[in-house]
Amino acid sequence: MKEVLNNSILKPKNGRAMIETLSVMLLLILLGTGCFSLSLSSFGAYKRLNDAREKSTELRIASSFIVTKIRQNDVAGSIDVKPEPITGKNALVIYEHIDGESYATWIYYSAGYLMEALVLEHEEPSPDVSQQIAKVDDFNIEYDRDVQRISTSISIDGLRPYNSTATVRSK
Amino acid sequence: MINKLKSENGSSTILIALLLVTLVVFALLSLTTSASELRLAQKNAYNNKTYYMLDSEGKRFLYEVKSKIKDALIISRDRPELFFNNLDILLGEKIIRSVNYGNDATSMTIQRTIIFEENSRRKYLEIKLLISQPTAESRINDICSVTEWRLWQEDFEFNNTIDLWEGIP
Amino acid sequence: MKSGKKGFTLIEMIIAVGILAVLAVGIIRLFIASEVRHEKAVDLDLAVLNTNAVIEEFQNLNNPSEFASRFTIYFNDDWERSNKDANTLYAIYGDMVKLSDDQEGLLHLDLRTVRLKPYPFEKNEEYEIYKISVIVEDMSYWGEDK
Repeated sequence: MKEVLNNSILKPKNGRAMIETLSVMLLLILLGTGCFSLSLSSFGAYKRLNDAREKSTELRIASSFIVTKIRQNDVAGSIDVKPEPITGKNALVIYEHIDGESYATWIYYSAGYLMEALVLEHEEPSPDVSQQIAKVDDFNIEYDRDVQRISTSISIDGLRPYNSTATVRSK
Repeated sequence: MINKLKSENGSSTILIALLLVTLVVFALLSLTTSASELRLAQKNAYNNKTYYMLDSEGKRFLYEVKSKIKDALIISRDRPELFFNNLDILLGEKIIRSVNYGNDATSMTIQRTIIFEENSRRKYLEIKLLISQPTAESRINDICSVTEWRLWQEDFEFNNTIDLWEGIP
Repeated sequence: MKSGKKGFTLIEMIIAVGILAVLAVGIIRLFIASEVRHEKAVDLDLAVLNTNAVIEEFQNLNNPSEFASRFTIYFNDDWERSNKDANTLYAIYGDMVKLSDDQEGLLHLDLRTVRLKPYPFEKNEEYEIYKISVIVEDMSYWGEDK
């Protein structure tokens, strides 16, 4: 019994007990785990926040672009909503006369982007002549001609869709 | 001498400090990007407000013109051919207009530009109204129709010029 | 008692863990603050869009003055219109009055969008997200349909 006690871990050796070494090791493990989990969660939080911020920025750009385009071209006969020739989905079309020629600006959705194309009135838009406006997952636009109201819905997976409304004041 | 300055003690604290500096940098990055996103959203909201400010002024103008049309209709009840003359008198000098004498009918175009200026940047709302010849059953909204209600602003330009001192005090 | 061997002392580890714990709380609060700002930005965008939708609905109403002069529209956390219940998170308070006695055909519409529950770590019960005032035409004033 005495020998057992003498040889137990409680007996200090070289001025330091085994229990102290073990507790320091435990604290070291705790510290390491704490650092690791804190780093991991911080990096994850930053990445998640950054992704959400980028997506909401794209949605904001897209919806304010559409509404601003409507407001800036609110002249009688200039604004229309009709199916885009390639995808068949509704697109916003703005007609204008520049230097005696009639042009049409098509704002439509194609391959994950909101696109804008300026073509001659009788021409069809294509991705080659289009500019990418914003990266979105879906774009829907409807024109209620009775009340002259254009409703758009722009969405990105994982976020609430941005539904905007603009009334065409000109007749 | 250098060996006396070396010490293993406190090395874990230094490691913790380095790690925390990295995390603080990430946290501050998140905070600044979120703050800039909020600022952008506030700017978008402000632009929307300025549009409706201009729109409201436009509505006031439209109401003023429609009131004058209503008065002109009352005055011209017995002599409808004098409608545009009476309207011209009622509109006064401040409202820009032009009368179009067509083969079939006369019409009047009324124009107004409403300006909103802030921080030396201007936003404009161009309004054009078409006043058609009234008939016996015409309603005011048929006589007065909005042909343009357009928002526009000057292109944004960076002021790259530097005023050079010409040497003359 | 120094043994002269290299290694981590107990007190050093305790101090290190203590510093980590204290500063980690601060870092987490910074992340929460950025999350709250992001939420405020998204709420502001959606408040602007939904307020615009209400304004445009009033532009097309035949007789807006028959509408109650004070009204409230409630939204859930997905910004869908709903009745006031446990899921209601946002509200648009509307106030409509005649612009003046001289301009009876014009109505002044005030809209105020608020968040009914506070953001994390904030105390404001009704946080005002967006406020706008517009003038709406009362088409029935001219004695006719739009």
